[in-house]
Amino acid sequence: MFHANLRKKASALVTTLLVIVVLSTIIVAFLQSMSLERAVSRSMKNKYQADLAAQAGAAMIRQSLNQAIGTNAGFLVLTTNLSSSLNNVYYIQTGTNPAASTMLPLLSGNLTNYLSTRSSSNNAWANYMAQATNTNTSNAINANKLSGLYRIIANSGTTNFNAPWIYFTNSIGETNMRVAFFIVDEQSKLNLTQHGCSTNTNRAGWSNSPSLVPIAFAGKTNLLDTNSAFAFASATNKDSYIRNTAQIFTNRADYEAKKHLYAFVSGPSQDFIPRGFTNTNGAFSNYAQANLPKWNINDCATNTNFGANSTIRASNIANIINTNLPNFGKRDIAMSNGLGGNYFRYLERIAASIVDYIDTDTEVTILSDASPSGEPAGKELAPLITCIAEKYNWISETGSGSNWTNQIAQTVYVQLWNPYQTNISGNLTFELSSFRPIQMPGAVGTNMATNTGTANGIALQPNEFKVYQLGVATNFVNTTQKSSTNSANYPKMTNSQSANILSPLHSRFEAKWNGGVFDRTPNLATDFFDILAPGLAKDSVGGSTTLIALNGSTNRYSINFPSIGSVTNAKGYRAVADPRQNYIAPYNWEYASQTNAGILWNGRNNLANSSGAPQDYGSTWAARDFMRASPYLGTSVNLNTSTPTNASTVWTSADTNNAPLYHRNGKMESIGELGNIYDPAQLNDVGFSTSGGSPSSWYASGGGRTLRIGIQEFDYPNTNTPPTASSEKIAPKWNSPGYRSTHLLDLFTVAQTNANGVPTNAPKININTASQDVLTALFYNLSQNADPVFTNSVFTTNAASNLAALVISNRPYYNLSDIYKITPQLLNPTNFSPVLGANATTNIAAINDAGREQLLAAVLGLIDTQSRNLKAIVIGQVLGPQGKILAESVHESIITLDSYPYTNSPGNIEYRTRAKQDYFNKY
Amino acid sequence: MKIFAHHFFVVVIGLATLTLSAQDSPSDSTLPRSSVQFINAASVPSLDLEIKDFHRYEKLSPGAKIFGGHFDFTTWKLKASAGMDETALVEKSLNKVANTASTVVVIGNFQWVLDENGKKKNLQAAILNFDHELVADEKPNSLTIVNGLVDKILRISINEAEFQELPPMSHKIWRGLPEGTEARALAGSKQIRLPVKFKGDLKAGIVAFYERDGAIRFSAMPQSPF
Repeated sequence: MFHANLRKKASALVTTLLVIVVLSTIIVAFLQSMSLERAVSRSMKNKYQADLAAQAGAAMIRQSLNQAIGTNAGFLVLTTNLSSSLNNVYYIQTGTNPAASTMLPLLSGNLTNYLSTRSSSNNAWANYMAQATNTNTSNAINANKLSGLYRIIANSGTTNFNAPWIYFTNSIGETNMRVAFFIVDEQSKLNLTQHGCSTNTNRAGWSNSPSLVPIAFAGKTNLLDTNSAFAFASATNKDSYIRNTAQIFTNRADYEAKKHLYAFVSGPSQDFIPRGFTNTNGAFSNYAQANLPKWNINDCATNTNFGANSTIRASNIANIINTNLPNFGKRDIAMSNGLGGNYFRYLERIAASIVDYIDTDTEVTILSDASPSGEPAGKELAPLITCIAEKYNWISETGSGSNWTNQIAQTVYVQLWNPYQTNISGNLTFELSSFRPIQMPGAVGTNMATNTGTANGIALQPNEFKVYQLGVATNFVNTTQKSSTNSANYPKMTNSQSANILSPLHSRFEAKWNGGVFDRTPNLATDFFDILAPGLAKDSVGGSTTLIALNGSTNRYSINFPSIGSVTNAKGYRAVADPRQNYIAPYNWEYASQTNAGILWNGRNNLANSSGAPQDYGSTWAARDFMRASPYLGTSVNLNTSTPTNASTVWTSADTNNAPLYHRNGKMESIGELGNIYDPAQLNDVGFSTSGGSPSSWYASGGGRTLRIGIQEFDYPNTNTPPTASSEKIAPKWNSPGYRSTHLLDLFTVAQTNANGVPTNAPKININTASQDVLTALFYNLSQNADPVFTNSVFTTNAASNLAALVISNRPYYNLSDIYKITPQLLNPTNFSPVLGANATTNIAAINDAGREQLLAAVLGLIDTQSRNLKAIVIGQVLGPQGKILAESVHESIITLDSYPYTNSPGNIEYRTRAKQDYFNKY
Repeated sequence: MKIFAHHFFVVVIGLATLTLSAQDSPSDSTLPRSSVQFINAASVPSLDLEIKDFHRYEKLSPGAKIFGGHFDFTTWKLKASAGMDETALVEKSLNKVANTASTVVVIGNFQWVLDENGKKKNLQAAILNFDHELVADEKPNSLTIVNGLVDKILRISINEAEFQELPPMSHKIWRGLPEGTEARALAGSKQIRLPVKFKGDLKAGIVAFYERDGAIRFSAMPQSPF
């Protein structure tokens, strides 16, 4: 029994113990589970807190951007190099002066303190940036931290991106979180939404599509593998790639090494007028319209919202220039106050040519002056008048006693030249007014009849000269005796002279193209000239030297062609043999004897008179806009028995290639086309305004120039020594701040406006921040076709790389106009293969002006000085009581900056900028 | 003499050209010839000018100029009248030496000056004659200024020199002027510029002032030797 009871007791104990063990196990397991869940819960809480910290950091970034940019929509995004071991730091600047008060670092730090003190502390910027170089881990973190084996931004290059911590405290003052962030400029990269991979190895044209900027090209191992790039470029739906950008790289390591060069962003670039520019003396000049949208030049030229007619629109454009660049008009010292004119007229003339370049009609923009028909100031798609000839024939003599009536016919011929690269067609009406009477014995002196004629259906091919017959006017001269019996009594006209009351006035003409005045001599009522001076100088006709005989078939001519002052004049050319000379001041119209063998027709003439070879543009424009080839010479004809229209035609289709000028007659595709606009400045070759003529006029030296956008500005004047002669005035330095033509790039754009009236573009490359690899792609295979002879010359890869380095070395670019710093190298002929212009000894490509302008114009639409697509990387950490890191979150987001109009309390429109988070990711 | 030498040269060139282009035969060069050109500087709405036995011009406007030429006579009988009053006329006879040229200027307002009895005393009109030929020792570059105004004094300045008074209906000749000459005429407060360039054959000229519609005007012609 004892044993039986004992076994029972033992069994019960075992059972009990088993139960206890089981229960204990269950309890322990339960307790362990509870502990684990509590730990997991705590971890999740910490992680959540870390996410919140990161998101708070991202919000802080957006708020800082909003606050720092404010109403400065023309802000800049720049980069600074803290040290060789640290990655560049991007920053926003809202003024051109690099003062702390205008700068916002795109890097974490004590932003609150910085933003509140930067306006009063010169050291605020330096102090703030010093935090980024303090590598103490409690101060900063290498924000380009490893994520596994790889870094956030890139594994290549400088991999340290030191970002200072910003500490957060809880409600009871305990430090429990911290964040660090940095911002990367996505417009410093090749943009996979825009840039492409084209098989086009010749990027010619006025406006390069962004897709022509290659995301990869042969031999550039820093960029994508070309096969991968082509595969990506040919994909119809790139989104599926972009969700995982790594897919387009050959392998993970390749991706990690190159991903910092690529972005996938689509926030539009917006064109705003920058703050201003720094003058030579260091002083800063504000653009009066800074931070307002740039003006769409195509709208300004054609939209009736900017003026009911082209004259008003031209004045409006001139006003924009003058408002922002009050010195620009003074480039033309001849028109400046003090010399009898007004420099605003110079701006209006430029603007008139801009309007005519863009509008699709062929009517020259007229500026009002004292003349009834005004001044035809713009340059239209209309021919140029290169010669005017009058033919005289004594047709009849009838009468008896002392009453005789003579008929003398005057036939006018006009030679036209189409200097443009496109065909032009239209109708010419030409009116010639002569102020000299036909002298015959006993005749009462009356001026010859006004001669008016029209030539319809004129069609001129590029670079073609052609002479046309215009009006025929019959003059009736009553004499008191039969004149044909004595050669001394044959009809004659004395020469005209300026400023001589004993001689007749010069003749005048007015020419209309398709009904609109496009060229004329200054007419009687004008602000610019004494009434005795202007017009066509005329040599004597008839008289004892060139008899006008009574047979009607022997011709006598009076001939004029636009010419220059004197080729031997040390002061340089005046009108530069340039029919494009300002219409109001055609200095000078040469007159020629009809027996001069140099008078040629249906081509340029080649008179070797005291003025040299006045229509040899290739020579006479050497010191102005270079012209690669003079137009072809015309042919002679026996004028005694023939007319200019009998001259043979010389033009061939090969001459088309030598047409020197480009005229769009449509919307500009690139703002760089401003380089095709005629510059009406009246300066000689060294930058002096010179007076000439009698009575003297300051409007004597001009022609041969277009605005220089893609070409280095003229170095006028080429001396600092003012002229001693009272007949000369020195112009201000053109190649200096406030005077350069490139400033117009800061005011005008060709970008279409969005619903808010803001000009927008596909996101552009920021030349302040882009790497050399990206900039090399920008210039890769650049070419031109505006000079059709050298279209196969392409920018070499090596030259593209060197130019990219030059872009970087010339930073910062406070505005787009600062791009002038690179134009000499862009136009270095040896940078092209084959040599551009086929002349390696010149320091600038020896091609026509339009071709040289086109190279920069092609990329102007692709570059910017600000960025509106940013990538923010925020690292948030949760800290324990002892500073132990309890959790971490990395928040990556794309921020776009959008500027929009806002009516402020005084009721004015200002443009504010908001930072929007377009996409984010966390890990 | 220099002038004649130059003129001879021009004539030779002219004849040479003539052989190439003239269809009509030249006239008889043995005829006595003269050349007279006219300036109507009369301050009247229209002037009638008669060259007796030759030609009559009617209603010449103020400032009108009539060109000279090679006329086959050397005696010129001139009569100038203006308007309704048939007695308001002036006459002048010119007996020119062969191959001479001159400029005739008609001035005045063709109004009678009356005496205290209301009788016509004298006519405010005149025909002035200025020969072109220069004598051997005379300097070229001469400028003749005629004040054809009947009641206004002109004050003339030549090349910034002091103003000289030119009484009504008078004239003055300045000789030996520089090639570029700037004359100015002051009539009351009105100043009129008279720039002149003597160049080539142009070695002399006449400027005649008149009044039209209450405004002072001038008409100018070069004087060329025969």
